[in-house]
Amino acid sequence: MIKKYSIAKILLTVAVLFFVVGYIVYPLCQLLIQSFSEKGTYSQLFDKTVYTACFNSILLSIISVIGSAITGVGLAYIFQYKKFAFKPFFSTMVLLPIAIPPMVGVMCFLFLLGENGLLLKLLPVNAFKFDGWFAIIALHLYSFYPLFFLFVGAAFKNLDNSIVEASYTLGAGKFKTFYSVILPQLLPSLIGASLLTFMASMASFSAPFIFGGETRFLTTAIYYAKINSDNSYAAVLSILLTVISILFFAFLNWYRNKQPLTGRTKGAIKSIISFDNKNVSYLSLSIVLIFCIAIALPIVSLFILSLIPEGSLMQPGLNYTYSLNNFKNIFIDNDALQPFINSIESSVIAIVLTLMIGLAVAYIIRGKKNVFKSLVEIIIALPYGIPGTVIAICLILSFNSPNLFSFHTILVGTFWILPVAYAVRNIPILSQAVMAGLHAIDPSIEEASATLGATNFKTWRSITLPLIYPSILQGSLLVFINSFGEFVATILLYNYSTKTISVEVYSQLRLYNDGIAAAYGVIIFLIILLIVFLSRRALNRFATINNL
Amino acid sequence: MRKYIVYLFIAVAILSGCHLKKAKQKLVIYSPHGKEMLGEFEKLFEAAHPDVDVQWLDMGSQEVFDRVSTESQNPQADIWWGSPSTMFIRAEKLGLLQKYKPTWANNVPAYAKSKNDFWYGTFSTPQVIAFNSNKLSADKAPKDWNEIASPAWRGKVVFRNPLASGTLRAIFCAMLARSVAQTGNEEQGWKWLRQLDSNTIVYAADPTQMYNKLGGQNEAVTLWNMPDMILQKDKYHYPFGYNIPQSGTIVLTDGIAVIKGTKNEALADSFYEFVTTQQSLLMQAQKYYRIPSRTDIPRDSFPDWLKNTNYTTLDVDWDVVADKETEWMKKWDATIKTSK
Repeated sequence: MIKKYSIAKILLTVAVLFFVVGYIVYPLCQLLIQSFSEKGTYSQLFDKTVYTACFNSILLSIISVIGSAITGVGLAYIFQYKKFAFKPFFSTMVLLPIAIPPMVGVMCFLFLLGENGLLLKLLPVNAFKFDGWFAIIALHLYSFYPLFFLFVGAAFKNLDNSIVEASYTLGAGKFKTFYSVILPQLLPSLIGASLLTFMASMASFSAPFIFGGETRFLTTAIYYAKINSDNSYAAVLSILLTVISILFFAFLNWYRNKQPLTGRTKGAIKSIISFDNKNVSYLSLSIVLIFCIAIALPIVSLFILSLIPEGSLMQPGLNYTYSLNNFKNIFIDNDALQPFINSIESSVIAIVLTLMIGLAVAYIIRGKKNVFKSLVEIIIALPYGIPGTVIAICLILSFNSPNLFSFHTILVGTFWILPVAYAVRNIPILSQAVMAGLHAIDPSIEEASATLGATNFKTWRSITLPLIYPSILQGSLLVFINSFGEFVATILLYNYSTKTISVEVYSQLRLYNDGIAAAYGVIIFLIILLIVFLSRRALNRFATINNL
Repeated sequence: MRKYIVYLFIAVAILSGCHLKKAKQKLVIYSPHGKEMLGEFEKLFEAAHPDVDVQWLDMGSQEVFDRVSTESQNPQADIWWGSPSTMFIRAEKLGLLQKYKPTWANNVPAYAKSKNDFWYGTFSTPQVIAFNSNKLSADKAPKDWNEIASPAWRGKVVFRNPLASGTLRAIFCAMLARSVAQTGNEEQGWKWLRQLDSNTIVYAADPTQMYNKLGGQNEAVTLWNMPDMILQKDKYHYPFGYNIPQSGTIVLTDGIAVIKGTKNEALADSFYEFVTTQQSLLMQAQKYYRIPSRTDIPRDSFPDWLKNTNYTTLDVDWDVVADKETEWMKKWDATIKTSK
């Protein structure tokens, strides 16, 4: 019996290795080869411009992580412990930014705060300029705090409140309890979210590109190097970016593994208590309300722009004629639906691929650490720290000709290259979500299962998997959202029949058709919103069934 | 949960089945010319060749270049329609293009074609000094290259980020190439660029933002291409005007080429010819504000906006520009842009 499941484990390991080597290591080798294609490129690393770009990127990422953490955890805390009206409604509202892909997000902020933006027309302020660091950080906070809200919110739900109560009974204050009792229990999720935010900020392109102006960042430097057809320099900078991400990843991973596993109470978790249960908190309500208005404004301006004729923003005043013409223009084409189908399809396949690999990886890595496991863990996290363009180019170079890993077919030019690219890019998200879920499980539950005679696989399937199901669902959701609006890799990989929505948005933006682009943005937003809503329902149903 | 996974797999199986259908003979075009123009010529060409399915991929010149060069082992496209000539010069050097001599090969100026028939110019794009017509008149706005760099315009020049803009890269490098041709070194060109940079208040990330800044509440001037200025003015009524530099202007060439390794060479050639007939070029001029590079089109058949346009072309060695562009723009980015 034991032998049989060992075979299963060996097979899984082989499958994971196949993916890791074929779709991450091998394409990255192409990057390395390119970085050596010209002599002396590495010596340029000591230029002052590179140093500045590096410093700015790291600083931006650190500010993004800290800012998003404070915002996200603060909100999660209010939603967990305070009582106020319309809570379910607001808890959906604060997640809205997740439904906005980077390209659309930049568009929203431009329409609201840009040169001829709506807000600047409403308010008589001429001196205000939405530009530079302030704008980039604002946009990063806007897109990344929901990660913390989601991850930490989930951890709050699993929090053992009897410990919190104990802390109060023993005379600890609110702050002390939060700092010494609650925070340590949130640590795995905090670290997971910080990792993703740091890497995403390092690899973020749209915001620094549009608002950065003269400030140098690594991603924009890579872009300019590429546009300057300085491919080896672009490759060197990408490697530098990747190395920084790895270092940060390794540091946080080391820190996480140093933490003692939080012992979870056996038996049912004590239901949520709230500190101010009796009085409804008006303060919390007003904070959340103001926050939600701030969240909604860019989206509202996107909606407005999608409803007014092209070029209206350039006219002074706010007297617009509203119509659905921009939406009609989208559906004039015969095959206007195809991009939507393509986007949904490749994102769904990407989810399936990441799920298969992510779960297999989690299954293998679970348990005692060794060098091999740590290596797999790090490699699997790499793609998130690499800009999308670079991933796309690596994939093209790797799958331009038939090879072992593509089962002797040519992937470039087929539909499959898109989901593969999305899966490669997003595998870190899913595996991070799963790892965070696993870290929160008390190993003694699994040990109990083993003691009672269950095989490894049986324990995994009936104990571990159900416990991390919420994390898996949330991870898959993020994978979907990221893939659905993915642009930078798609533009190099799509072909005529696999055009995605983001490609259409770009086509319109290139022709300066802001209105139609905004209309596409609205549709993308609504589709993602629908998916978020459905998956939250699934999550809630799961929670009710399992009495969590 | 198992149920959901089964659903997921069924959905995937059904969806991927949709990709197995087979089409007619495919002709793939990579082009930055935009949905509208590409869509129109797709329909026209398919009407003339009913057994062909024209598939165009609309993206920026840089993305076309990236794709063509990374796909060179296994080319996915047949025709590359539209990009600045410097890009085609580089592609020719990298061996990414296939020779083809169009029937009208002798009716294009020498600077607008490849000596070895690898690419030919389709459109000519003169660069102009554009200004905010609400705040400035053609009289008051700068009238020549030296004028826009003079201290009188300090704080009034707006630019699109030159690194990301084919237009500005070409202007900047053309000025350096001219400096080399006239004085034997680059110094004069760098001086001009340095002055220009000290006049500049902002480098906008994309054209739309540049338009906003140009058409905003201040006296603003920029360097941009003429057809686009006319288009923005006519179509969206932006407050733009322009002066053609008196000493002559830099004219960019937009080209067309067959991609090396095409599997439909004959068909690619016929598309090449199809979109560059006199009739097609006039239609592109009429509807999409492109100026034909062919010199054998009678002037009185031009659309009105083009009939009254006169400009002298500055002599620029584009081979030098294509050769030095990478180095020069890197230097500009590292030494001039940071001088602020």
